[in-house]
Amino acid sequence: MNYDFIWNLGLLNVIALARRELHAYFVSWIGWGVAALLIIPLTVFGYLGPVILNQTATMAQVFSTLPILLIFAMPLYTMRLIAEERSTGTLEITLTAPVRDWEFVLGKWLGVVGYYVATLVPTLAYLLLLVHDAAGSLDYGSIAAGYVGLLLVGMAFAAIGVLASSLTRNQILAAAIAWAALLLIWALGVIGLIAQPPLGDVFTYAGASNRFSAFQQGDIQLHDVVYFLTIAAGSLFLAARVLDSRRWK
Amino acid sequence: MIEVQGLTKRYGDRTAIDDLSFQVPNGQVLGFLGPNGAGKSTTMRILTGYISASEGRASIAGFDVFGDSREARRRTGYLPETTPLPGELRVADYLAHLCRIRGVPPGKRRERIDFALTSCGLEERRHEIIGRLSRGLRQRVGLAQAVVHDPELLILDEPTSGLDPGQTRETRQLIRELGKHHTVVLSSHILPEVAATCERVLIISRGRLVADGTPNELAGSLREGRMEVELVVNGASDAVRAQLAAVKGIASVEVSDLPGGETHAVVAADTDLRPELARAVIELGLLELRSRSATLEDVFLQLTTEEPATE
Repeated sequence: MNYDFIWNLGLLNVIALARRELHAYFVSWIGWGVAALLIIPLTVFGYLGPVILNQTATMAQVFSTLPILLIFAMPLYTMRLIAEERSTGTLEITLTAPVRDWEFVLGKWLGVVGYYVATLVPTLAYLLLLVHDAAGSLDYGSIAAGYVGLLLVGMAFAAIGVLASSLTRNQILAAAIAWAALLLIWALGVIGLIAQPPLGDVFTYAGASNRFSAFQQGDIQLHDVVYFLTIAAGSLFLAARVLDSRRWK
Repeated sequence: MIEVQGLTKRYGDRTAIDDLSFQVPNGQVLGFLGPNGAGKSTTMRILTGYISASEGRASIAGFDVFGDSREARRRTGYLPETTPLPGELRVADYLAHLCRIRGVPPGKRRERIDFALTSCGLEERRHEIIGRLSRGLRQRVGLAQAVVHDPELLILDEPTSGLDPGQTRETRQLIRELGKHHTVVLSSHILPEVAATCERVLIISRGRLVADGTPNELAGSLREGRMEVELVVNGASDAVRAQLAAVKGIASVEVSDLPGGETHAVVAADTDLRPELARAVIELGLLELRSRSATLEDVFLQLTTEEPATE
């Protein structure tokens, strides 16, 4: 297999673009700033409160706090991805490179998911401390499921952010669109709990918060996994279509 | 290298380019000349695959820019008009990233980056952050990014706009060097630039191709049939006008005062009147007399300021 064949598959471009985004986060104030915005409240509400104050050996608060923080933090990560390239004009250089629209979108998304995963790494410190202090009483199964849930939520949120960023050249607007969208799908799950059937069922089906709580309880359901992956894939597909639409304007 | 056939782009009711057709052979340095808004950038964006055309076809190195866009783009280096570059990256890191997304095999990347840096005079800026470079150096990075994947074709949109005269000359020199190894299409509304760098000029106005030829051919085509003579005479403009009025065969005269009591006159005629004109003003004091050849500028102005012909 020669290089051209592998390159034509597109995955090398995706990795190259993801790597470039990852680098951009590590050298920018927004990358570190938003990471701090996530980690500090997470430490206070997820670890210090329940574990130190209440002496409970659990990661549950970490898993319930993080998605809420992420609703606000993820749009800050994703707002610049495409909107910034559009406003500075570098989009014209990137998209006239032999990069397919889906490679571009997927690369951007993978970059932000990569940075999100990197921001989660410090939470392993809580886990290590818990293991050190109370190894016997930990439920490793639900902790693992919780992390799977966090990854899936992050993937879905990041894709929505990428889509929002593809819609405008204004980063603030991109963030606002993403906030609105994330709050909405998160809230649907909450509404689903209080609304009457059959409407309640619809909300429950479409909402994200209730699906995420299943992971927190150590329960990985295929339909929940599919739900988050579908949101991610759908949003990325739409973002690629938005990019393609510039050609026909 | 480039084949364009019947290319048309409409934005709603506005037609940005209208039935454009031309070919560019391998190795040519072509200037795309036209006033702002004539459709130069639109044409370039279509060729680079950034936007689509409403009608028509275009291909680069035999690859259709719509159907085989990826192959066409791989063979094209493009510098957009505003030289947009990522400010946070170092020069060599940026070029390495572009090698990766433009399909340069890993084994060749170091060599290509070195070539791009050397040919654009950036060897010593390799590790500098792009955002901290001067405007002229950024322009060189822009050219380096266009050549780093060894494209057969370079498309440069207004490559010297926003540069000071020194940087402009430097950039033109660089483009001439690059023109030895690549086919180059550059756009400009600056005439001397095109005359200085291009073998062939396409003049485009209101989205239509209005002239095609070497700078000399185009200038020559305008001169046919009419001749202009420029005179500088030591005397008042009224006296000069009176003397010239006596010469037969003059089509038009423009007279203007120069400092120091001298007069500048431009005489147009269908035949060579130089001897008669010289005799007419010799008593006043003839200081200069020369026949004026049309410049690319005259061609440009004539072709692009005419009202569109009604069809």
